[in-house]
Amino acid sequence: MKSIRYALRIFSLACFVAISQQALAINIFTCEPEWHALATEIAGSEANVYVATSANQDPHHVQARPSLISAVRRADLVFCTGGGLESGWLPVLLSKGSNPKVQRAPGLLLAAEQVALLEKPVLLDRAEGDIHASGNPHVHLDPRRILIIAEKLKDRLIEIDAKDANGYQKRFDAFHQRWQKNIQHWEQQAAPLRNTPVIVHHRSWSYLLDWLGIRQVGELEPKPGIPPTPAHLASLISTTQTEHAQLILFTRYNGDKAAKWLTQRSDACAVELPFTVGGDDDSASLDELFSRLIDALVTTQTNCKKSGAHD
Amino acid sequence: MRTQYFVLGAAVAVSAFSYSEKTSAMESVADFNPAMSVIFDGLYYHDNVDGEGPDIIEEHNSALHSHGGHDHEHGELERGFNLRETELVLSGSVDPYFDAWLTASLSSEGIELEEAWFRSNSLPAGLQLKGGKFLSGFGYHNEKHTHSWDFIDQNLAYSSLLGDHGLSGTGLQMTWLAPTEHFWQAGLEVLQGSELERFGTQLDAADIADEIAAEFDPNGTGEFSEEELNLGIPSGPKLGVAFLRFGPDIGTEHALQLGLSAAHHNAMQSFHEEGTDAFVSEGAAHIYSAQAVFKGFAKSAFGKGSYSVQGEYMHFTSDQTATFHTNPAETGLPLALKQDAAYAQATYGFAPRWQVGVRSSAAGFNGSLREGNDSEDIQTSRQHSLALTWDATEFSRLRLQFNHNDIAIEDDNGNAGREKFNQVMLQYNLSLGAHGAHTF
Repeated sequence: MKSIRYALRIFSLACFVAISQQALAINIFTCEPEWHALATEIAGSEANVYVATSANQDPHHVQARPSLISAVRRADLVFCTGGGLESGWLPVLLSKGSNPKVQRAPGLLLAAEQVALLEKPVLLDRAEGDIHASGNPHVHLDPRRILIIAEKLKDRLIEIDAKDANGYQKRFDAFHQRWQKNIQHWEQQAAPLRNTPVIVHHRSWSYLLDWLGIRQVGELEPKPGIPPTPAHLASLISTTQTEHAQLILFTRYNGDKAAKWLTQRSDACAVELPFTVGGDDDSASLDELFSRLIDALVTTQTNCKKSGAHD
Repeated sequence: MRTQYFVLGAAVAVSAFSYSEKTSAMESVADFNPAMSVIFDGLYYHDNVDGEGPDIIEEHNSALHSHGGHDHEHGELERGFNLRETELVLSGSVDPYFDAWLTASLSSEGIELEEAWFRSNSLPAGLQLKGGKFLSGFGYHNEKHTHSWDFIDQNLAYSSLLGDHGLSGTGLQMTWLAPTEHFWQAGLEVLQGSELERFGTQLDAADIADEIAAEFDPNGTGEFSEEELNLGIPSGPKLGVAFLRFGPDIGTEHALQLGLSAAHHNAMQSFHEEGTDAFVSEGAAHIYSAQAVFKGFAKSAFGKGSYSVQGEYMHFTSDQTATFHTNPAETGLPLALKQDAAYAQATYGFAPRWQVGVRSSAAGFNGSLREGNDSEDIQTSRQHSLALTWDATEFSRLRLQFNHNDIAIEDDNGNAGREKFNQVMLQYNLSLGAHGAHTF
């Protein structure tokens, strides 16, 4: 009898510890690694930040696997790109997650809805490929937009979890300061890239190019979301010549086949870039990601010019 | 009839709405509510048994085989070109408390309502309530819509126990999702259970009575009333389903889901003809099922390197009583039915946008039909399938499938036999409209 009472006491204590631990820390569900990094930055290391995808997965094509549903069930905040990027899986997570808190604001924060979007389509027709109705959703590659999103995230965290408001504000202020310096530094570093004509695999780099004043003159995909075809690639040979394209940008999950094919038939050089935090060994944080992107672009441009002059 | 008008009305309303939205404010189309899509599905079919393939499979030796049940009103496959169901899907939020979904199947014969349900999204504690007409959460494959199948046709195990369209019905479903790191979901359903194709099938008593009068004339008067069949008054709810699913978090590149389900029907009916005799029986029926699904996700785009493996095992039993027998001495005799069915399948993305799938299904094993002291074994039917799929985009797909069938049949004299034959199908499947999100 005594042992049963003892066991019960231990059990209730364990339950209490488990529940109170869960209740103390805020649970944030993020869809992509860049938002995982930003949420960790603003919410601090005590927050439980869950990320749904890894850096080298294409966020357009992710399955609503059971563990994601469970993670949404426990979330206080769902923080994703939005703008249609996750339309194949996020709606399932939200509807199956049985969590009324995250169905809409403040529990649901979509980055693409917080900033102005590029490439808003004039004609909404699927014959034009996988076009997102509200515009290009890949907003995380513009650090100025990241800053706006970080501020919105801070506001949401304070709204959801007011007791920790000071912490969120403090961490955001520190990030804000550091990030503005970073932007200045990166812009200086990337100055030689201004007006450089480039070809991209998919329209994933539009915000980076827009920020740095790089000119996009072609896409390896014939239409967004349609893999490169031989006929389309062949047509790009003349584009690279007439537009003097110097760089071809792609990320790991695009595969290097199409980019390599075109570099062999033109003066342009292919450069593999991390698409998000964790995309390669040198981009473990948001700061490192942008440093790495700019470094890779500048270095490839410099080396490419040299070898070009060599010919 | 009323449903048809409702569906038509809804479709017209939505298309008018979409038109005005498009012309006035282009950017708001992203937030379009309700989302609408039309699924086009057609195929070219061929077999080496003079087009009898679908009939042979339908009539395979099974403990659930009965004459005079509710047949689903879809056209059978013919050799040559076939237009399958064209589906109209509407879904969206009703208000902050409910989502709703409608699937109507359109054909030249009319409109049929396949699904029409609402689901709560504001209940606390991980609870969700779904109501209306919906696909049951039984098993794994059962809830999948035809256009998200990995093969063109239904697997033989499901066809045998649940019917080509699976287990669905009108009623309520309650699910509970545990607040745990790993996925634990439990669900309970109470369904009317009166429109089932195989498991839990209900007889059309008037038709059966006419057939008995014409062929057996037990009263010697040429007349026979349906009351003489002594079937229970068909009222519901008659079907209960329970399921439990578990999916551990094993990282971003793999996913596993295990499940157990049970279905109970309290008044399954069947009609049997045996030479000069015929009888009608009724009683409770059960299916127990275990499922496992494992998927690996590719790091490259367009599915190259992605794979999936899934399997389900089902065990069916039913204890019925002959409520009417043309030989009056045998009325009241107990009838025990049982059989198992299972399938396993695997898919692999061998190139961007290309997928190959293999599937093996079997039905009828461990099966028997025991009537009083007489027992008859059910023979096992098997099907092996190979499918090659090309996804042009997320919205269009072509699929080529080959089936080798080894089907146990019974001829008109009750003699067991086997039919071995092949089937080839080439299918297109297009989705026009909203970007559909797919469940795991």
